[in-house]
Amino acid sequence: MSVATAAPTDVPRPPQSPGAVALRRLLRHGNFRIGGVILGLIILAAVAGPWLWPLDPASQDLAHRLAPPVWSAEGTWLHPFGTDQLGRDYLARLLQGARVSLTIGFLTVLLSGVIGTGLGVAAGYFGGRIDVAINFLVTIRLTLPVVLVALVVVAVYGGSLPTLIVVIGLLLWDRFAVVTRSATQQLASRDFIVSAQAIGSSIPRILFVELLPNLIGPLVVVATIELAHAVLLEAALSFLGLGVKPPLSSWGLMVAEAKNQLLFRPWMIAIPGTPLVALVLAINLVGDAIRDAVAADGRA
Amino acid sequence: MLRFLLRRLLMTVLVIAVTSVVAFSLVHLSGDPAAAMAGEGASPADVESVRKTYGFDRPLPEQYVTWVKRVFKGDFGRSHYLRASVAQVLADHAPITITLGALAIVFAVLLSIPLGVLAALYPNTLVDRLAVGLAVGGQAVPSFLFALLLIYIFGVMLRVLPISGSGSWTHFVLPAVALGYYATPAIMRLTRSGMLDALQSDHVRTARAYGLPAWRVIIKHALRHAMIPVVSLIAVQLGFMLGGSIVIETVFALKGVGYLAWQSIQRSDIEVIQAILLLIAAAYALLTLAADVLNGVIDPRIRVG
Amino acid sequence: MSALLEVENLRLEIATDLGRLYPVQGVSLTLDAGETLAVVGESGCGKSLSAMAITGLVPSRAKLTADRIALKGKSLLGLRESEWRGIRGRRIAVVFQDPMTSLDPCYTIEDQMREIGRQHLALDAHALRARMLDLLRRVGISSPETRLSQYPHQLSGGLRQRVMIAIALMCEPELIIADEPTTALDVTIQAQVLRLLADLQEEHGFGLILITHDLGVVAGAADRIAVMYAGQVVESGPTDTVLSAPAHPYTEGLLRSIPVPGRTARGAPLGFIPGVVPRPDAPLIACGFINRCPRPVPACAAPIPLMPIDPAHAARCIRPCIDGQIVERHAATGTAA
Repeated sequence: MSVATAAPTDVPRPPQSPGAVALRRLLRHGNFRIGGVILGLIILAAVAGPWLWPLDPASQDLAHRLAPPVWSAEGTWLHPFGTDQLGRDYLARLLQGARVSLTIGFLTVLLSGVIGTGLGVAAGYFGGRIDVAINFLVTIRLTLPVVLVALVVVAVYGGSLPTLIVVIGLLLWDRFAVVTRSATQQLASRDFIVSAQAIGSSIPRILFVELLPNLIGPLVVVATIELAHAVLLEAALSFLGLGVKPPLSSWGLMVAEAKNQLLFRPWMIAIPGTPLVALVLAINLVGDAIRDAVAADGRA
Repeated sequence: MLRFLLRRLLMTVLVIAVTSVVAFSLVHLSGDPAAAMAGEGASPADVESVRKTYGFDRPLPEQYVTWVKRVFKGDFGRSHYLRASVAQVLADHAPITITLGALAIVFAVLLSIPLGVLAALYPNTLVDRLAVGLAVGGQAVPSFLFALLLIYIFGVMLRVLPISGSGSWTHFVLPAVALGYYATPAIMRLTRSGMLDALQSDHVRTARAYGLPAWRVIIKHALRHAMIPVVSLIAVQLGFMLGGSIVIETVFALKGVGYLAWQSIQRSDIEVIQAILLLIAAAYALLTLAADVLNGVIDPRIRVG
Repeated sequence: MSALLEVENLRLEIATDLGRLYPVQGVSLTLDAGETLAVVGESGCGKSLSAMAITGLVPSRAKLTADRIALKGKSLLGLRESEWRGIRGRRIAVVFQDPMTSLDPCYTIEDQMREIGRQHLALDAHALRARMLDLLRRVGISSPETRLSQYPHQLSGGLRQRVMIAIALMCEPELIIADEPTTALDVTIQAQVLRLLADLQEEHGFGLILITHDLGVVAGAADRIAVMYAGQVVESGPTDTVLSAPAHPYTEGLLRSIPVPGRTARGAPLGFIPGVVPRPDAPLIACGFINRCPRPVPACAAPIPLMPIDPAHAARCIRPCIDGQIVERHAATGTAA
C-alpha cells in the first residue's frame, strides 16, 4: 500500500508457474510472432505438400526441361515454379525439399540434444574427473572441422538420410553439452537438489525428476540454435554433392543443380534459396524470443 | 604467465594428438581404402598392389604409428591421384587458402567491430537496429547462397569483379567477403554486448568522473575490456573459416586447400584427406592457443592464473 | 563568504522501460570549504545519485533539474561536456565505493594516475611521476615505487582505496565526494581510511561529502549530517545535534536500531522501523515517511518542505521532536501551528 505516492496499489495476483509466465511472454513477443508464422507456414507446406500439390518431384519430363515459372512470359500454371534441367516440377521438388530439410533438422537436433545433454549433465553433476574427461571430449569435437568430417563420412558411408542424420547429429552436440553443464552446475548447489540428495533419492531420480525439468529453458534455446545449424549444414553438404542425393530433393541440392543457370535463369536459385533463408531466419527469431522469455523470468 | 602458457601448450599438444587419431580412424575405418583408391574398374591385382604400397594390409594401430612417425619428419605420404608428395601438394594449395582466410577475417573484423561499438554507443537508435538486423539476417543466409548472390550482383549485373580463378588480388575480394560475412554477426554481437557492459562498468565511471575525454574512455577503457572475449571468438571464427573454405573455394574455383579436400574426398585420395584433416585441426588448436595468449596480454588478471 | 557547494532542490527523473522513476525528489545541501558533510540513508534513498548529479554524471535517459547547483558560486547546471572536463577530476574528485572495480584492472596504477595527471596538469613526465610518488606516500603507502608498477588486483582493498584517494588528490580539488568509501573494507581498515581523509582535509582544506549508510562512520568523521529518505533530505544539521537530539521520526528510528555499547541494555530488542520504503515510481504527494511514522496526522498527507528548527538544523516534518517534545508546525510557514 502506498499512501505517500500517487502510484496505483498492487492488486494481488494468483500465483503462476514459471512455465506459464514464460509462455505468455513468448506469445506476446514480436519476434516470436513473425518467426512462428513463417516457421508454421513452412512446416505446413512440408507436411501438407503432397496432398496440396500431388506432382511427383522425381518424375522427369525431358521434353519440358527448364520451363520458366508462371510469372514470366511463357510460364504456365501446369508448373507454377517451372521445371528443372531434367524436367522435374520445381514446386514439387521445393515441397519435398522442405520435408527433407525439416526432417533431417529435427531428427539431428533430437540426436545431438540427447548426446549433448547426457554428457553435459554428467559433467556438471558429477564433476571431478568425469567433468575433465567430458570437457576434453568437447574440445576435441570443437577442433575437428565440421564440414570436412561430414564430407569424409558421407563419402565413405553414402548419403542416405539415416547416415546424414547420424553424422550431423554426432557433430552438433557440443553446445548442448556446454550449456547443460553450466546450467547443471548452477542448479546442483541449489537447495532443492541438495534436499533431494539428503533424503536419499536415487541419482536417476534426482537427474530426471528434479534437474531435467529446470533445464528445459536453456535446452530449448540451444535446440533452436542447433536446428538452424543442422539445416545450414545439410544444405551445404547437399550443395557440395555429398548430402541428400537425387532423386530426393533438398534445397541445397536444388541450388547446386541450378548453379550453372545463374546467368540466364537466376530464379532457379532464388526459388529454393529464399525459403531456406526464411526458414533459418524464422528459427533464429523464434530462438531469440524463447531466450528472452526464459531469461526475463530469472530477472523478474 | 609462463606456467599458464606451458599448461595451455600441453593441452594443445594433447588435443592435436587425439585429433590425429580421430582423423586417421575416420578415413580408414570403412570399407576397403585400397579398393576406394584404386578406383572402379580396377583389377584385383591393382587393388592388391595399392594395398601393399600404402601398407593397408598392416594392422590399424601399426599404420597409425607409421603415419605419425612420418608426419614428424615432414612426410605426409603420397597422393595417389596426383602422383606427388602430399606435402608438396599441400604447399601448392595452402597459400590461396591462407590468403583467403586472412582477407576474410580482416573484412569481418573491420565490419563488425566498429558496427558493434557504434551500436553500443547509440543503443536503440537506427544504427543499433541496423547492426542487429544485419546480424540476424547474416546468420540466416548460407555461405554458398551468399556467394552466388555476390557473383550475380558484382560479377554478372555490375561486372566489376572477377568471379573465378585466382589471377590477381581482385579475384579474392568476393570470396573473402563471402567467407568473412558469416563471422560478422557473432563478432558484432559480442562486441556490442561487451561494450554495453563495459560502458556501465565502475572503472569507466571513474574515468568519466575524472574528466577524461570521451574517445579515450571508449577506446582505452571500455573497448579493451570488451575485446577480451572477442579475441577468442575471432580465433575460433578463423578456425571455422579454414574448415568452411571448401564451399567458397568450390564456388569461386579457387584452388586452395578446401578445394583440394573436396576433390580428394571424391577421389578417395586417402593420404591427402588425412593430412588436411590433421592440419586444419592443428591450425584451429594453435589458433585457440594464440587467442589465449593474446588474452593474457590484454587482461593482466589472467596471467596470474 | 559564499559556500563551497550549494545545491538547491535537486531532482532526478529517469525514463526506463518499466516507466518513469523519481529517485531524487528535492535534495538541498550546502558545504563550506574544509567542512565534512555526511549524507546518510539506506540503500536506494538516492544519496549516490544525488552526489553523482553534482558532477553532472547521471544515468542515460535521466533528466536532472535543480534550482541551483553551484561550486564556489559558479553554476554547474547545463554545462557542456567540454566545460565539465575542466571540473571533473580537477575541482571535484570522486572516491568510489569499490576500489577493485573502480580502478581499471588492465592498467598499472602508474598508467592510470598518469592518464589523469596528463589530462589536467601541465607537468612534464618527470615532475608528474614525482608528484604521483609523493601522493602515494602522503596517503600512507610505503614503497610507492613498487606500487606504481603493480596492477589493481595485486593490491589489498585498503591499499586500493588509498590509491583512489591519492588519485582524488592529484589535482588539489576543492571538493571531494566519497561514495561509501569504507563499505567494501574491513572494519579495522575503515577507521584508517576515515582518519586518512580527515588528516588530508586538515592539510589541504577541501570540502568533503561523505556518503554512507553506516551511522557509526558518521559520528567521528563528519561536521554536519544530512539524512536522506525516499529521495529527499529529511533532516540536516550539525552531527552532534542530529545524533543526540534527532528531530525527524526517521532519524529517531535509525538511531534506535543501532546498538550503542554502554547504552543499549543487554538482551533488549533493537528498534526497527516497520513498513517499507515507498517505490520511486511516482512523485511524492505526501510525506514519504507517512506509512512508517509513529506519529502521523492528517496534515501529513501533503508535500512537506524542509523547514529550519534553528539556523543550523532543519527537518522535513510538521511534528518534529525538539528538546524532547513534539512541536506542531505548519507546512507552509514552518512556524508553530
